[in-house]
Amino acid sequence: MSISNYKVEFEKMLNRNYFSKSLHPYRKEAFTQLEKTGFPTQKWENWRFTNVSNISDGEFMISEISDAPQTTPDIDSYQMEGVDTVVIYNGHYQKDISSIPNGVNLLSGSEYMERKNGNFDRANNSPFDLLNTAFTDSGMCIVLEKNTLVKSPIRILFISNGDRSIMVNPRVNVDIGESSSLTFIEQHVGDATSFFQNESVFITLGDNAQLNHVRIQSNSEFTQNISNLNINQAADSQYEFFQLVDGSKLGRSDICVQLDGENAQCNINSLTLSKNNQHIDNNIIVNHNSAQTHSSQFVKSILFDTSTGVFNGRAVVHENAQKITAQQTNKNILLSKKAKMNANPQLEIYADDVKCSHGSTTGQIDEEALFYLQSRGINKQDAMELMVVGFANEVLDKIPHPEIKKAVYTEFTAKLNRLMS
Amino acid sequence: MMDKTLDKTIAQEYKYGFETDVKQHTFPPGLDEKVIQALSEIKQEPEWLLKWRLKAYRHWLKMAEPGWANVKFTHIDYQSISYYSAPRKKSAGSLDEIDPEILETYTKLGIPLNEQKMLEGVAVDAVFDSVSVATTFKDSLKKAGVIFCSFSEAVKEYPELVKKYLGSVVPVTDNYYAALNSAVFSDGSFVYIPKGVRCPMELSTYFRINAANTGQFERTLIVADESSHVSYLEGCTAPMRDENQLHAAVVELVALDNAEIKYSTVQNWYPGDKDGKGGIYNFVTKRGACRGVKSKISWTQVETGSAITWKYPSCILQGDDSVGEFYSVALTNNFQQADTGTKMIHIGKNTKSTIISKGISAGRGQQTYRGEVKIMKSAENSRNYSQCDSILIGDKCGAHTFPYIDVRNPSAQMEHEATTSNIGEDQLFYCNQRGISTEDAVSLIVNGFCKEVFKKLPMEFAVEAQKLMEVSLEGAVG
Repeated sequence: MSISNYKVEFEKMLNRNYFSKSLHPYRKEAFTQLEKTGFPTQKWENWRFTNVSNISDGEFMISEISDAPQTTPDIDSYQMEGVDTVVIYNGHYQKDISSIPNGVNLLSGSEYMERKNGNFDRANNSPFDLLNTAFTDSGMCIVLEKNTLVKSPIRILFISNGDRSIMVNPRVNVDIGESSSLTFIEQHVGDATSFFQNESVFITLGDNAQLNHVRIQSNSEFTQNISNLNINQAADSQYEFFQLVDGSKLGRSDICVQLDGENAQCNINSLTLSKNNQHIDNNIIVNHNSAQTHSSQFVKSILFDTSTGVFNGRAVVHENAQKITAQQTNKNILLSKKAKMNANPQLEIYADDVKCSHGSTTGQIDEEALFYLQSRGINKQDAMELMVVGFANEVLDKIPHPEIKKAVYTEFTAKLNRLMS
Repeated sequence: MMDKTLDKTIAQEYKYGFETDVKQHTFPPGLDEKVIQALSEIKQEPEWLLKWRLKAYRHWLKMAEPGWANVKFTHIDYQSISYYSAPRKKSAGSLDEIDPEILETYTKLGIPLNEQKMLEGVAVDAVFDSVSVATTFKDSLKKAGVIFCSFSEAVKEYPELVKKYLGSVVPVTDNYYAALNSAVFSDGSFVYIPKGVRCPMELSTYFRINAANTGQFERTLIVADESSHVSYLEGCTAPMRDENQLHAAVVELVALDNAEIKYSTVQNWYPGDKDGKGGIYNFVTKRGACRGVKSKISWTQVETGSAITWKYPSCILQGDDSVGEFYSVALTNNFQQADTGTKMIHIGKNTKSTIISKGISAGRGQQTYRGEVKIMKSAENSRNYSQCDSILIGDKCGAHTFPYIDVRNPSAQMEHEATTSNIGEDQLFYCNQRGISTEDAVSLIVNGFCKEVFKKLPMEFAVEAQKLMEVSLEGAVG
């Protein structure tokens, strides 16, 4: 564990004048705390199966002005129909090629803080959240006022590029006012050869607000991707989350939902496609803090080669939170003898009027189903692909927006096809 | 209205809480190497066993008390516990020599040690505090070639068997409580079933804690040689006391080729009173190794007692085609806490395991199912099915499920399911409507919920378990 390397970078960062000074006290406080806790080790219950030594021993540098693109980056290959895009390249906001839909306010980190009267969102103080607070570079805040329905989705496109070992700590705030709704996409792409991204996302849903959140992580296979998602939901709000992960060497999503208001609902859906020696870890906690709240977790993994996967899902029903429904479903397909999956679906319940269930299965492609398809003249290759696509479709179908669904589906099947042939 | 009936149903008293007045030889509280030496001396143990104990003790000193379980309790002061307590009167061999008070105790508990009065076909080893006081049907078992005796006796009579298997499943360094047990275990049962023998009767051990301020540390070792079969039962009770007493046992099972061991427990240690005062801390390590091909180990447990239960009867499925099973019903009421479950480690090819766990939580009880299913690379075509259901009765209790699933072989098939809910109002209404009182309806529903496990118990035990369930639930309905 070498926080010392990060310490050098931290000092460097405090001296760069393009970072707002007003945030410095928060940064310092977070870094001091991080020095105390250190990076997680495999002795930590939530990190038992994930080794972060590549990050804790890595020598990542903060992203400098020189890491910004010299010419306007070409984003044609990431085009998505009918979607407004905000581009962040190696941690640098690309205003010229960015656009936002009507009704959305895009604020910088310091503007957002002003709006919140100097209050600074703080998460659960996990090491990576602290690291993000200390090193926050690109602050992007999406704010929707009351009663605003935004039809056109907004996307933040994170591009990582280059050969320098840089680290980027984007911090995204999404504030949806009362009775407003939005579709928000974050997409992570690039071909960096050594890169560490540690993103923190804070989502706040007001009463009766609705957010569709789509996260596509297909970063280069040499990157370390940590994502800390914190979602707070008021009464009657609805949060639909969909995630597709097929990128990065180490991918970890920490998703923490607080269902604070009555009748709040969240649906977490995730699909992972991993190959080579990728390690993808999904750590999900849903806290039912209020009565009549509902949650579902639906997580599937498809593992090739020597890749490994972790599912750590937990639904917590707190005292006096009655009339709850909580569901967890986890299904995994191992397509190679060397792939490995760890699944820990967990329920923690302190109230009695609840309906909670979870299920987890791990296995390979059903031989009999395969035989059935072959006996009907479909060759083995196609039959297998058909079955895996069918397995994935159950999750892909949860994407709320038809255009996005189409885009994700096309991308997914193309990748799968390459892996299976 | 319903609340009251439920309350009444759950709050029945613990009826095994009496104390027996016998002269006992008890060590002063405290633990150091001298205590272990003294213990070993009393038991006239061979040199190797003393060395083994000291090794465990030295390792234990280096270990820290584990804190990961989902239970809360005040720190145990290991120096305030007495590590040996035995009735003064010697009780070797014949029943006539046993202190009549002790015989009376077992009769009161419903376990008459007098062979004529006994249930047909169940041999009992009765353990009273730190020593085994009697083993019944020894002779008839001997004819079949089965060895069933107290652990101390086994050390003297069959040292080579004990030496070969002791600590081979649960090594002395395994965990904090197992290390402590290895250092200070006083007695327990030893069973050896020779090749090809089907044990002619059920074997059973009855554990009774009597003395105050003592800990009970017994050790059970069961070895089933090739193609043998044995069914073993274990029961336990303790007097009602305000202070907590520690019970840290180790159970080791070894099944060789084609052997089968069925191990059933009805655990009814004193659970503490309704304010959570007193009760036994039941921190037990139970593990079975299916060493041989086609061997089978099956654990069935009914856990209704103890202030805190913390145990995971496990199976190591080493032999190809071996089978592991775990059936459990756990009930927590008042302030009881239970963190229990199992571990199934699949190593051999075509190994199969089944886990059925039923939890009932009432009052302020907190209950956790914690289980691990590990499928190693070598375990081709292995199969696991787990089902863990919980019922919640009352709004102050909790039920938690923490399964750990680790799959490293794609040909393995692994399924896990769990549900948690309360007794539905519609279910109760349906019963009420048909003239069944709320009390009976709850008992009916809970019994139905547990049936899958109860039917795995030997007949006599199944009846007892069902009754125990009703008693323990009394007053919980509300």
